[in-house]
Amino acid sequence: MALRSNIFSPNQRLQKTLISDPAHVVPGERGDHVARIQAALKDLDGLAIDEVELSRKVYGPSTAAAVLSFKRARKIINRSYQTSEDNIVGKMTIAALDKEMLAKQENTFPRVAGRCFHPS
Amino acid sequence: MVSRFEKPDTAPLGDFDGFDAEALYQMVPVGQSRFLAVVTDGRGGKLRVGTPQFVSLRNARSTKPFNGSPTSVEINLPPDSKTTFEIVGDTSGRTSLILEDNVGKEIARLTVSIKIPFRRTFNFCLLSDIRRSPSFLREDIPKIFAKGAQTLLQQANIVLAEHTPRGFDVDVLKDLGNPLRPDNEKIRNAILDATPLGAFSADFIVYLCWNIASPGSDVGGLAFMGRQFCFCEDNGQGSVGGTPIVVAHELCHLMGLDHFQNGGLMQGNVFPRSSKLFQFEIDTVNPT
Repeated sequence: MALRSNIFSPNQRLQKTLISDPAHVVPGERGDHVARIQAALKDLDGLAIDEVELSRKVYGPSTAAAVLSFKRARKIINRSYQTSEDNIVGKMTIAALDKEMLAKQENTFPRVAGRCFHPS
Repeated sequence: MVSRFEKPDTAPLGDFDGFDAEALYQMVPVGQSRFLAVVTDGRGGKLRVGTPQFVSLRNARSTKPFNGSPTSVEINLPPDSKTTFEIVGDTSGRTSLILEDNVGKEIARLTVSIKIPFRRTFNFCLLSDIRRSPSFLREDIPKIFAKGAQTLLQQANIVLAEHTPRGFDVDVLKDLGNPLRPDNEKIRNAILDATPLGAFSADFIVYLCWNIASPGSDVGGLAFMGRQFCFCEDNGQGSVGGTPIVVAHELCHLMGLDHFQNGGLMQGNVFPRSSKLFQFEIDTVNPT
């Protein structure tokens, strides 16, 4: 089992998130894996995330709120130990994000085009 | 028929070896040679090197017996004959091969530019965004660049080398759109911002993309003249078709060439184009 979407599949940290509980992504983290989650949340649900958090790739309060909103909209709850949604990205959340991003992915095909363009 | 220069059918690199028939021009790399021929009329004539220090002639062969042995600087050309020979580049610079008739009157003068290798480096970047990746096959990419590099080497003595083996993956965490519009500054900046700094160490960056468009039309490539980067889409012909030509075309834009609608490599509005470079283009991309 692996992440398959364009946005998540290259990131090893998120691949681990899919299969390992200790690799859950939680508030306070920063890095490329956080940026990918932020981009997907914005793209899928149009969720607002603070510009500073985006530019610094930080899992801050607005990112946490967006994660929570995403999970509430889909009722992503691990019923083995919780009764309501939380704001972390665990196995179920990353799988849901990946599935939805994969569904929006386009195949690209070779093109035969003739002209060249160079802006002045 | 007047005596004239021409490219012999047996030239190993064909016409695309730095020869420009209209401009009467031949590029010769230092330490290498190029094949040429002279066809004479009934008067015969003589071929001589303008400034001998730059080039020498060798392996002269004619359809008729020579009147006197050819030397490294002069060949007596029999009447109604075709004489083939090699021009060897001895020293970087420029000289002429002068074709004279049997009374010493100049009939034609071919410019010979002897060029040292001019090394240019590139990095390729496989572009993807949150929706899509290009359709290039990874195993095809080295072959695409090798073929483009070969034509620049044999025509202009440009040594085009990959700066960072295997290139770079550029993942833009946005929807850049399909078709891709690199002429849009926001799109372009998103791509540049996502590009690893190491990619910029090369002279040029070639982004391999999905379908590209420019204002009002579909295009196969897009370059920003005088800047470091260009964009090429996969035209579906892999390493054996037109993609190497598109890549070479866009790289030549980055080396300062504009479009030249004469059926050569820099033809801007048709496809497929040939890989032919003309004199002024060769001297622009390799000023040595």
